[in-house]
Amino acid sequence: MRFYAAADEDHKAQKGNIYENRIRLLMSNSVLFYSLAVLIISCAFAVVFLRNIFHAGLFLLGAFLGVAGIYIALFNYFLAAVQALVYSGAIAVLILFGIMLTQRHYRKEDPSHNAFKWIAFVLSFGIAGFLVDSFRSLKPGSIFPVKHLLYQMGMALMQTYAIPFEVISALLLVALLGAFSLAREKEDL
Amino acid sequence: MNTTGYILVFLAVGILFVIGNYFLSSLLRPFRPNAKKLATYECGEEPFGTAWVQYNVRYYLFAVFFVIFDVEALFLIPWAVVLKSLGAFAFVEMLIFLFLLFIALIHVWKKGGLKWV
Repeated sequence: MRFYAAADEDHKAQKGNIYENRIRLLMSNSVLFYSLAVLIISCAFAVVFLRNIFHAGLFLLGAFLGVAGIYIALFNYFLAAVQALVYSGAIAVLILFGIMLTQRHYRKEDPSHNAFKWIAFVLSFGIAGFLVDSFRSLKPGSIFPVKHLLYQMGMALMQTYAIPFEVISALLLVALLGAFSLAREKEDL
Repeated sequence: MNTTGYILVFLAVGILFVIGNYFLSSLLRPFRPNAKKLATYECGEEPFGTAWVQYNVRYYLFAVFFVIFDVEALFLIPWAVVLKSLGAFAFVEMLIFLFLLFIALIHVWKKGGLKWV
Protein backbone atom coordinates (compact mmCIF):
# COMPACT_ATOMS: atom_id res chain seq x y z
CA MET A 1 0.00 0.00 0.00
CA ARG A 2 2.77 2.31 0.95
CA PHE A 3 4.54 1.39 -2.26
CA TYR A 4 1.50 2.34 -4.34
CA ALA A 5 1.12 5.59 -2.50
CA ALA A 6 4.75 6.41 -3.20
CA ALA A 7 4.34 5.52 -6.87
CA ASP A 8 1.23 7.65 -7.06
CA GLU A 9 3.07 10.51 -5.40
CA ASP A 10 5.90 10.05 -7.86
CA HIS A 11 3.49 10.07 -10.77
CA LYS A 12 1.85 13.24 -9.46
CA ALA A 13 5.24 14.89 -9.10
CA GLN A 14 6.16 13.95 -12.66
CA LYS A 15 2.87 15.25 -14.01
CA GLY A 16 3.36 18.46 -12.07
CA ASN A 17 6.83 18.73 -13.51
CA ILE A 18 5.60 18.46 -17.09
CA TYR A 19 2.94 21.03 -16.33
CA GLU A 20 5.50 23.35 -14.76
CA ASN A 21 7.80 22.90 -17.73
CA ARG A 22 5.01 23.85 -20.11
CA ILE A 23 4.15 26.92 -18.04
CA ARG A 24 7.81 27.94 -18.03
CA LEU A 25 7.99 27.39 -21.80
CA LEU A 26 4.87 29.49 -22.32
CA MET A 27 6.21 32.28 -20.17
CA SER A 28 9.67 32.50 -21.70
CA ASN A 29 8.05 32.11 -25.11
CA SER A 30 5.73 35.04 -24.54
CA VAL A 31 8.63 37.17 -23.27
CA LEU A 32 10.46 36.30 -26.49
CA PHE A 33 7.33 36.94 -28.56
CA TYR A 34 6.56 40.35 -27.08
CA SER A 35 10.15 41.58 -27.27
CA LEU A 36 10.28 40.47 -30.92
CA ALA A 37 6.90 42.11 -31.57
CA VAL A 38 8.21 45.41 -30.17
CA LEU A 39 11.30 45.08 -32.37
CA ILE A 40 9.29 44.28 -35.52
CA ILE A 41 6.67 46.99 -35.01
CA SER A 42 9.19 49.71 -34.16
CA CYS A 43 11.30 48.74 -37.20
CA ALA A 44 8.15 48.81 -39.37
CA PHE A 45 7.25 52.29 -38.09
CA ALA A 46 10.80 53.41 -38.85
CA VAL A 47 10.43 52.06 -42.40
CA VAL A 48 7.27 54.08 -42.94
CA PHE A 49 8.24 57.33 -41.23
CA LEU A 50 11.97 57.76 -41.87
CA ARG A 51 12.77 60.47 -44.39
CA ASN A 52 15.90 58.77 -45.69
CA ILE A 53 14.77 55.90 -47.90
CA PHE A 54 18.09 54.07 -47.52
CA HIS A 55 17.72 54.05 -43.73
CA ALA A 56 14.13 52.83 -44.20
CA GLY A 57 15.55 49.90 -46.19
CA LEU A 58 17.96 49.08 -43.37
CA PHE A 59 15.14 49.07 -40.82
CA LEU A 60 13.21 46.73 -43.10
CA LEU A 61 16.14 44.33 -42.63
CA GLY A 62 15.61 44.60 -38.86
CA ALA A 63 11.91 43.78 -39.25
CA PHE A 64 12.78 40.72 -41.37
CA LEU A 65 15.20 39.48 -38.71
CA GLY A 66 12.51 39.96 -36.06
CA VAL A 67 10.15 37.76 -38.07
CA ALA A 68 12.90 35.11 -38.21
CA GLY A 69 12.96 35.32 -34.41
CA ILE A 70 9.18 34.73 -34.32
CA TYR A 71 9.71 31.52 -36.30
CA ILE A 72 12.28 30.42 -33.73
CA ALA A 73 9.75 31.15 -30.97
CA LEU A 74 7.35 28.85 -32.86
CA PHE A 75 10.07 26.14 -33.05
CA ASN A 76 10.11 26.22 -36.84
CA TYR A 77 13.86 26.45 -37.27
CA PHE A 78 13.71 25.72 -40.99
CA LEU A 79 11.44 28.68 -41.68
CA ALA A 80 13.62 30.83 -39.43
CA ALA A 81 16.66 29.92 -41.53
CA VAL A 82 14.68 30.57 -44.73
CA GLN A 83 13.54 33.94 -43.43
CA ALA A 84 17.07 34.93 -42.42
CA LEU A 85 18.60 33.69 -45.68
CA VAL A 86 16.02 34.82 -48.24
CA TYR A 87 14.48 37.92 -46.68
CA SER A 88 17.35 39.34 -44.62
CA GLY A 89 20.10 38.00 -46.84
CA ALA A 90 18.71 38.42 -50.32
CA ILE A 91 15.52 40.52 -50.49
CA ALA A 92 16.87 43.28 -48.23
CA VAL A 93 20.06 43.46 -50.31
CA LEU A 94 17.92 43.53 -53.45
CA ILE A 95 15.89 46.45 -52.07
CA LEU A 96 19.04 48.35 -51.06
CA PHE A 97 20.54 47.79 -54.53
CA GLY A 98 17.25 48.96 -56.00
CA ILE A 99 17.44 52.17 -53.96
CA MET A 100 21.06 52.72 -55.02
CA LEU A 101 20.00 52.24 -58.65
CA THR A 102 17.42 55.01 -58.66
CA GLN A 103 18.11 58.50 -59.94
CA ARG A 104 19.38 60.97 -57.40
CA HIS A 105 16.41 63.33 -57.62
CA TYR A 106 14.00 60.59 -56.57
CA ARG A 107 15.92 59.83 -53.40
CA LYS A 108 15.54 63.04 -51.44
CA GLU A 109 11.78 62.80 -51.44
CA ASP A 110 10.06 61.74 -48.28
CA PRO A 111 8.67 58.26 -48.98
CA SER A 112 5.74 58.65 -46.59
CA HIS A 113 4.47 61.96 -48.01
CA ASN A 114 3.90 61.73 -51.70
CA ALA A 115 1.09 61.66 -54.25
CA PHE A 116 0.34 57.98 -53.58
CA LYS A 117 -0.31 58.56 -49.88
CA TRP A 118 -4.05 57.94 -50.00
CA ILE A 119 -3.83 55.01 -52.38
CA ALA A 120 -1.25 53.45 -50.06
CA PHE A 121 -3.49 54.13 -47.05
CA VAL A 122 -6.49 52.37 -48.63
CA LEU A 123 -4.35 49.49 -49.92
CA SER A 124 -2.63 48.83 -46.61
CA PHE A 125 -5.94 48.90 -44.74
CA GLY A 126 -7.34 46.44 -47.25
CA ILE A 127 -4.38 44.11 -46.75
CA ALA A 128 -4.65 44.47 -42.96
CA GLY A 129 -8.36 43.59 -43.11
CA PHE A 130 -7.63 40.58 -45.27
CA LEU A 131 -4.93 39.38 -42.84
CA VAL A 132 -7.12 39.82 -39.75
CA ASP A 133 -9.92 37.97 -41.53
CA SER A 134 -7.68 35.05 -42.42
CA PHE A 135 -6.28 34.89 -38.88
CA ARG A 136 -9.80 34.68 -37.48
CA SER A 137 -10.51 31.52 -39.46
CA LEU A 138 -7.43 29.83 -37.97
CA LYS A 139 -7.87 27.50 -35.03
CA PRO A 140 -5.74 28.38 -32.03
CA GLY A 141 -2.85 25.95 -32.37
CA SER A 142 -0.29 24.69 -29.94
CA ILE A 143 2.92 26.61 -29.49
CA PHE A 144 4.68 23.41 -28.51
CA PRO A 145 7.09 21.86 -30.99
CA VAL A 146 5.61 19.67 -33.73
CA LYS A 147 7.35 16.36 -34.34
CA HIS A 148 9.07 15.88 -37.71
CA LEU A 149 8.07 19.33 -38.85
CA LEU A 150 10.34 19.45 -41.88
CA TYR A 151 9.14 16.00 -42.98
CA GLN A 152 5.51 17.14 -42.76
CA MET A 153 6.32 20.32 -44.65
CA GLY A 154 8.04 18.30 -47.37
CA MET A 155 5.09 15.91 -47.62
CA ALA A 156 2.63 18.80 -47.91
CA LEU A 157 4.80 20.48 -50.53
CA MET A 158 5.25 17.35 -52.63
CA GLN A 159 1.72 15.91 -52.35
CA THR A 160 -1.01 18.35 -51.30
CA TYR A 161 0.60 21.36 -52.94
CA ALA A 162 2.34 19.65 -55.85
CA ILE A 163 0.84 21.96 -58.49
CA PRO A 164 1.56 25.22 -56.60
CA PHE A 165 5.09 23.90 -56.10
CA GLU A 166 5.59 23.65 -59.87
CA VAL A 167 3.94 27.05 -60.32
CA ILE A 168 6.61 28.52 -57.99
CA SER A 169 9.20 27.30 -60.47
CA ALA A 170 7.38 29.06 -63.32
CA LEU A 171 7.11 32.20 -61.18
CA LEU A 172 10.85 32.16 -60.49
CA LEU A 173 11.48 31.67 -64.22
CA VAL A 174 9.34 34.71 -65.06
CA ALA A 175 11.10 36.79 -62.37
CA LEU A 176 14.52 35.79 -63.68
CA LEU A 177 13.75 36.51 -67.33
CA GLY A 178 11.81 39.68 -66.49
CA ALA A 179 14.65 41.14 -64.43
CA PHE A 180 17.12 40.16 -67.12
CA SER A 181 15.20 41.77 -69.98
CA LEU A 182 14.53 44.93 -67.92
CA ALA A 183 18.20 45.32 -67.06
CA ARG A 184 19.22 44.59 -70.64
CA GLU A 185 17.02 47.37 -71.95
CA LYS A 186 18.92 49.78 -69.79
CA GLU A 187 22.36 48.83 -70.90
CA ASP A 188 22.56 46.44 -73.82
CA LEU A 189 24.29 43.44 -72.29
CA MET B 1 15.76 25.74 -18.86
CA ASN B 2 14.06 25.27 -22.21
CA THR B 3 15.14 26.25 -25.72
CA THR B 4 13.35 29.59 -25.69
CA GLY B 5 14.94 30.41 -22.36
CA TYR B 6 18.37 29.72 -23.83
CA ILE B 7 17.59 31.96 -26.80
CA LEU B 8 16.48 34.75 -24.47
CA VAL B 9 19.64 34.42 -22.38
CA PHE B 10 21.82 34.47 -25.51
CA LEU B 11 19.96 37.53 -26.80
CA ALA B 12 20.25 39.41 -23.52
CA VAL B 13 23.93 38.52 -22.96
CA GLY B 14 24.78 39.39 -26.58
CA ILE B 15 23.14 42.82 -26.38
CA LEU B 16 24.51 43.59 -22.91
CA PHE B 17 28.02 42.50 -23.96
CA VAL B 18 28.11 45.02 -26.80
CA ILE B 19 26.59 47.87 -24.76
CA GLY B 20 28.84 47.09 -21.79
CA ASN B 21 31.97 47.06 -23.91
CA TYR B 22 31.08 50.39 -25.53
CA PHE B 23 30.52 51.86 -22.08
CA LEU B 24 33.76 50.40 -20.67
CA SER B 25 35.87 51.61 -23.56
CA SER B 26 34.33 55.09 -23.30
CA LEU B 27 35.56 55.19 -19.69
CA LEU B 28 39.08 54.05 -20.54
CA ARG B 29 39.95 55.65 -23.86
CA PRO B 30 41.36 59.15 -24.31
CA PHE B 31 39.16 61.52 -26.32
CA ARG B 32 41.13 64.09 -28.34
CA PRO B 33 39.59 64.36 -31.81
CA ASN B 34 40.95 66.45 -34.65
CA ALA B 35 40.00 66.88 -38.28
CA LYS B 36 42.51 64.29 -39.53
CA LYS B 37 41.36 61.67 -37.04
CA LEU B 38 37.72 62.15 -37.92
CA ALA B 39 38.33 61.70 -41.64
CA THR B 40 36.72 58.62 -43.21
CA TYR B 41 40.10 57.08 -44.05
CA GLU B 42 42.61 58.47 -41.60
CA CYS B 43 45.63 57.56 -43.70
CA GLY B 44 44.44 56.68 -47.16
CA GLU B 45 42.29 57.94 -50.01
CA GLU B 46 40.79 61.39 -49.71
CA PRO B 47 37.06 60.76 -50.11
CA PHE B 48 35.10 63.07 -52.43
CA GLY B 49 31.38 63.42 -53.10
CA THR B 50 28.82 61.31 -51.26
CA ALA B 51 28.60 57.55 -50.97
CA TRP B 52 25.26 57.77 -52.76
CA VAL B 53 26.38 57.27 -56.32
CA GLN B 54 24.05 55.60 -58.77
CA TYR B 55 24.89 51.89 -58.82
CA ASN B 56 25.32 49.91 -61.98
CA VAL B 57 22.22 47.94 -62.92
CA ARG B 58 24.31 44.75 -62.96
CA TYR B 59 24.40 44.66 -59.16
CA TYR B 60 20.61 44.51 -59.17
CA LEU B 61 20.59 41.78 -61.78
CA PHE B 62 23.00 39.63 -59.80
CA ALA B 63 21.00 40.22 -56.61
CA VAL B 64 17.87 38.97 -58.44
CA PHE B 65 19.77 35.90 -59.66
CA PHE B 66 20.90 35.26 -56.10
CA VAL B 67 17.35 35.51 -54.70
CA ILE B 68 15.98 33.12 -57.32
CA PHE B 69 18.61 30.42 -56.93
CA ASP B 70 18.55 30.86 -53.16
CA VAL B 71 14.82 30.07 -53.15
CA GLU B 72 15.43 27.15 -55.50
CA ALA B 73 18.08 25.68 -53.19
CA LEU B 74 15.84 26.10 -50.13
CA PHE B 75 13.05 24.06 -51.73
CA LEU B 76 15.54 21.22 -52.12
CA ILE B 77 15.75 20.77 -48.32
CA PRO B 78 12.16 19.65 -47.52
CA TRP B 79 12.21 17.68 -50.78
CA ALA B 80 15.37 15.82 -49.74
CA VAL B 81 13.77 14.92 -46.39
CA VAL B 82 10.76 13.22 -48.01
CA LEU B 83 12.45 11.86 -51.14
CA LYS B 84 13.00 8.37 -49.69
CA SER B 85 9.37 7.88 -48.68
CA LEU B 86 7.83 9.31 -51.85
CA GLY B 87 10.30 7.84 -54.32
CA ALA B 88 10.03 8.42 -58.07
CA PHE B 89 7.05 10.78 -57.85
CA ALA B 90 8.90 13.38 -55.79
CA PHE B 91 11.99 12.89 -57.94
CA VAL B 92 10.09 13.70 -61.15
CA GLU B 93 8.41 16.67 -59.46
CA MET B 94 11.76 18.13 -58.54
CA LEU B 95 13.13 17.42 -62.01
CA ILE B 96 10.31 19.51 -63.53
CA PHE B 97 10.96 22.25 -60.97
CA LEU B 98 14.67 22.34 -61.70
CA PHE B 99 14.19 21.98 -65.47
CA LEU B 100 12.12 25.18 -65.72
CA LEU B 101 14.77 27.17 -63.87
CA PHE B 102 17.51 25.47 -65.85
CA ILE B 103 15.95 26.73 -69.11
CA ALA B 104 15.95 30.28 -67.71
CA LEU B 105 19.56 29.93 -66.62
CA ILE B 106 20.64 28.65 -70.05
CA HIS B 107 18.78 31.51 -71.75
CA VAL B 108 20.42 34.15 -69.56
CA TRP B 109 23.81 32.47 -69.92
CA LYS B 110 23.54 32.35 -73.74
CA LYS B 111 22.59 36.02 -73.87
CA GLY B 112 25.69 36.88 -71.85
CA GLY B 113 23.83 37.91 -68.70
CA LEU B 114 26.24 36.10 -66.40
CA LYS B 115 29.27 38.04 -67.64
CA TRP B 116 30.54 40.92 -65.55
CA VAL B 117 31.58 43.27 -68.34
